[in-house]
Amino acid sequence: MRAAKAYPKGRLVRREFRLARIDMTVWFASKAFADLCDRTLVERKYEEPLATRAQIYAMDAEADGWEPPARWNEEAGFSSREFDRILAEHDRRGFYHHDAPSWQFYDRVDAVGVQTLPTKLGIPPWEFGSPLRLFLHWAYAAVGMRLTHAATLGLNGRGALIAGASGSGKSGTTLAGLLNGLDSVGDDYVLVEDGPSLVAHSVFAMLKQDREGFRRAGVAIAELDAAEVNWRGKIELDASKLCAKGLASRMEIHALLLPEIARSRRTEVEKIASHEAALALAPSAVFQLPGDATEGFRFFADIVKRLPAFRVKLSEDPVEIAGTIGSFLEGTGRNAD
Amino acid sequence: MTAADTSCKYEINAPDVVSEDFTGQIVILNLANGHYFSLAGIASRIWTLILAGHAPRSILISIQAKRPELVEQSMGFLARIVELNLVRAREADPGDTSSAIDEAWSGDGPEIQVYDDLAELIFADPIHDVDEREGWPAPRQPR
Repeated sequence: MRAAKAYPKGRLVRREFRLARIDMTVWFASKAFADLCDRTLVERKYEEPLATRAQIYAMDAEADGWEPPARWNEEAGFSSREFDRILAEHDRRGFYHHDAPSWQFYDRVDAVGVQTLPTKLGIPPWEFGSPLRLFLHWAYAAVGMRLTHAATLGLNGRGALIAGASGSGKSGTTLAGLLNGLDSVGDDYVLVEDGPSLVAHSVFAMLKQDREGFRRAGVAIAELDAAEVNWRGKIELDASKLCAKGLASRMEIHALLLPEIARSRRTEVEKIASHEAALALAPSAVFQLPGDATEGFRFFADIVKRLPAFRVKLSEDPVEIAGTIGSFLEGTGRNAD
Repeated sequence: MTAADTSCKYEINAPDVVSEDFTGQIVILNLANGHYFSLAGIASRIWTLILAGHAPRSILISIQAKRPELVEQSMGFLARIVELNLVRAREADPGDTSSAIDEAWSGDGPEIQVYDDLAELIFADPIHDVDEREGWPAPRQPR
């Protein structure tokens, strides 16, 4: 961190990101990575009291005088839990990516983070749709909020978190809703704030789906044909390219939905027990983001206890899915509060 | 599976293990290996009593009195949560928990459901256990 702070600022690209509840200054060694963040992070469109600020140095070994990231001694083994524990003793958080060695560290006291990459865009492959997500996670967690691995749908500001395992239909449900009159603040990672009301905020602009999934939902844009698939065979597209309104900035959350690809004639919504919802939301939300795991589990447990939870057995018709969920958000979800 | 020591008292294996009660249904996370668990039947009640400081022997005596047919399964459940490192023997006695356990033990026998679908996110040794083409967190398929 000292080296990053001492690095000549004249050689770095500065960006000020005004995101949901946080102002983040990022010093980029690479314009390519700055551009990726410009495309992907969602600037807030409303004014609320700022919860926190952070300053991040996004360095890479292609920058003059910046050393390549050190490689972990493979013979020593690696325990992510022990790594987290040692850093936490110094009020720091961190992550080591083994494949193309890179490090991310965050100091919670100073709210300063540093990332050191082997190349300009040498981030882990799953972060291209959510760059800087760990810094956001650590900064939000420090003030009691959580970057949450869940999708969202809403209507008239009244929304639901959509949770479930990979392949359960979270992104497809979100896409069906967004293209057919509903709102969303994101389909992968959203900020959740547990206050007098539960609020989800948009942080990342991209929606992801496999090419066929986009086509089944009725997407027919040039970007779809031109896009490359990501590391999971998905395509990531800016929500504003898919529908004119793009993502909503924020929505109040009143229910938790667990989609299930049922291919039934009509989409069915049925109430489920809270522990089923907890199993769908909490482990994934905790294990997807390193650090602050115990606090994360308590946070998500509280959310599950606050929200009525429903299983959504999906039909194959995106218009019908959106209609059913829209009716639910207007009616059943309200009654279930 | 080895039998649990039913005479000693146990506590949750903190800080690696955390649990929450959702209206009588317990969900447990092992943060050290990415496994998570749900308890069914009378398992949630047994778990709650263990965390409250009751020795397994007291719990088993109570079950024997009301639902003797569930004792063997309950002993198996106790051994399982020890084997899974979800609880550990208490170093300090929590004090007098000798009060009778007033429990009807209604419901099915204790069950623990183990989920390991997220374990690769933190448990795979990223250096040795990942697929070289896909990288972490996609674990290498068994050969």
